Amino acid sequence: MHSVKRVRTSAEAQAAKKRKEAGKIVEYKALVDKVFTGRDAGDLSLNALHLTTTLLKQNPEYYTVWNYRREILVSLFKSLSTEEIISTIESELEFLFSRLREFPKCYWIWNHRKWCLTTSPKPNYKYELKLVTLMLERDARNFHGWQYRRAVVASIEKMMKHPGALDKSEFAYTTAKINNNFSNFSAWHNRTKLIPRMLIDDPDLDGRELLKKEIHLITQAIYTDPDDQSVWLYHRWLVTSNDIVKLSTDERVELLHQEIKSIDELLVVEPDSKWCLHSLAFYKNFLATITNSPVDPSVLEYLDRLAEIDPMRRKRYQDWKAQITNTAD
Amino acid sequence: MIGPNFAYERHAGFFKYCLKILPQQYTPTDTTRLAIIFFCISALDLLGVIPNSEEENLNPNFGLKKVTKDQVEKWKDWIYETCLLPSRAAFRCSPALAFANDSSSKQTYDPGHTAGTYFALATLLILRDDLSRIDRPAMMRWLCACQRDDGSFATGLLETDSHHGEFGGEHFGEPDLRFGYCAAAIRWIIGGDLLSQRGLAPDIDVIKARAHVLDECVTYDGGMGMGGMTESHGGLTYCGVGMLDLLGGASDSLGDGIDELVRWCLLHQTAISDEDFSGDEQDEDDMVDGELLVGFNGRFNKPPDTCYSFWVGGTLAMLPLQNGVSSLALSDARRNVSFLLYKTQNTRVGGFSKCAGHHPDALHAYLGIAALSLCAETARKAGDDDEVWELLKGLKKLDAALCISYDARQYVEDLRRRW
Repeated sequence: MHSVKRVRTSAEAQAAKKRKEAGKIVEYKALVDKVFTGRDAGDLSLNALHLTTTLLKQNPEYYTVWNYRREILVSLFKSLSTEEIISTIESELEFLFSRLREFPKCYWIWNHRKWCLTTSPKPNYKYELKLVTLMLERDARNFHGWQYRRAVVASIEKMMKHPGALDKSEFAYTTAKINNNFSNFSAWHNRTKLIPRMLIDDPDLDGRELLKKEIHLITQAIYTDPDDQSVWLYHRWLVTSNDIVKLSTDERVELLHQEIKSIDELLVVEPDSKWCLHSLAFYKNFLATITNSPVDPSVLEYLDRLAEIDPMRRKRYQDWKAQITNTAD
Repeated sequence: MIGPNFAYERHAGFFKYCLKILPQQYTPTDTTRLAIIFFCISALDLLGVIPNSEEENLNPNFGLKKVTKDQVEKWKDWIYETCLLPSRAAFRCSPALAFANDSSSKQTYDPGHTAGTYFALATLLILRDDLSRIDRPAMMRWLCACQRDDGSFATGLLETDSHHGEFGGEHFGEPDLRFGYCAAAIRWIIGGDLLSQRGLAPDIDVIKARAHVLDECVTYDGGMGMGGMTESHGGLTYCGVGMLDLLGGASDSLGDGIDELVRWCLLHQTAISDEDFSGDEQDEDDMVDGELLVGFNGRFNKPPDTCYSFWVGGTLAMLPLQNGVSSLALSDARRNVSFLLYKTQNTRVGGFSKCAGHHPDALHAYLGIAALSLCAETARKAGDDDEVWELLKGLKKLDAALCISYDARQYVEDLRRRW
């Protein structure tokens, strides 16, 4: 459910609003009736299309009406030339763009857009990519936007008959978004999905080289923005995951030591950084696990410090500490 | 002070009002009307206002006027009359989708809806209906047809010309853990597992359903998303864990993964000032009396939102620690209660809003109350925060997995024993 901002109104204004609401409800119901009476009578005319336009402007979540609209369009297409169909779909896409500006998170609008593209004899996916790039400028975290972007990319790759063709450019897109703002969680997240795909699609790509570059990039991010969650979560993935490269235990240990040293240095400059402390605790703990050795006592100190500076998670740090000391016993 | 009082009476009034009339801003929710109905009736249940046979066991209900038994019967009848499909195997999500009897188009546009069916069943349980008006084996057959090859569940089935047989057609709707959750809940509520054990109905592919959650939906940061390339999300994580819980226990399915999930959930606790939000929420004071207020967000780097106190809190409530206590005990329940009561509770008209400065709505109001119930129970069990307990003890205990009162869950357990 999408939220509505509160604005102060007087008692009279509120009463007037209520009357207006009641009128709107009657109007809306009448419109719904009209649309579905037409549907039951098998009305697939242009007029019927316009009625659905009016209703969908008020309620884009009414997915049945989108279904009906598609029925009408399919029927209208039967008497149109290819050029006319392309042009009609282009108008449809313009209509949808205006709807998306008002309701950027409505699944059915994005869904109808996809239908338009798969139905059009000449879909313009490059334009779609531009559109979704624009939507993501407006809201970098729009879930639907990112999903639609991936659907468009997949369609382009399908047309090119080359799965993974756009991996590298999509990767570059996330790089651009990150360079613009390190705290773009969605961009980092997409990177975690693109990297394994790139490594599969391009056997010439060296996983270890890529990992090195990513560590370099994330280190810059950590030093620039040590309070941001997304950079540390990405760092953790790079350091501990087998999704990029299956490192040997020795290589993993070396990487952990390297990163622990790096974060230690940052901690000197940012002694109250909860993320530095949290990461050091985690990596030293992880190191102990994979080398089958006891946990470094500094971890317990970090957890004590964390309980002080991050009080909302105090109980979690205490529980973690208890787990370590219990295992040691 | 932990917070202003929980406005029991105002909230009861809010939900009762919503059940009568909703303002124009709710128009887009008309196609999922059963969801709103569920939120309202379940909230009234938590507030102790729905009459049922466990009345003697209720916490003091602060003198709230109960709904009449006559009204309860009317509600039950309404749900069946407007939303149960003729097959009695599923519910539609709203009377807005019930079309005139035109045999050529009816099924295509008026399909059973997994979320609608869950909301209908959950509401009926709260009203102590015995579900005898549905055809439970048929419902299982429909549910099985809603499962895709990859183990996930569709919203429903759109019948096509080429389909044959009782339930078939195209899966429609977003590929989305919400529908998997609803499917798992439906199956458990109607005793689908029991029916299949006795050979009276087919069962869904539980192994595939679980595998889809664990293999496709878990993300690199330890939470769950929709699968594919989507980000982890508090609501979807709740649905994934809830699904595993209802399919036979979250702990067994998750194993060592529990620790990752708990860590992920606790990272979603967030004080308002920590956030760098690009949204339109204003920067009100994030401290009251020098105390930090702590809500939950649904995705990293987003501001706190009332409903995630439930989605994420509820997930924690389903994940046990080594000593058997739920990991919700590791969260800062006290500060979460403060956040909800100070920032998003509306004491004028009742209900809760998504965040400060917005109108309250039925979804955030219900989930805010559900979250408070979980906090109250956590405080009661830990015995370390009398203030939280005193403020909220008038709320009924909540079952996190089904998102209904514990009493209502016990009622289903009874039904299952009888079947």
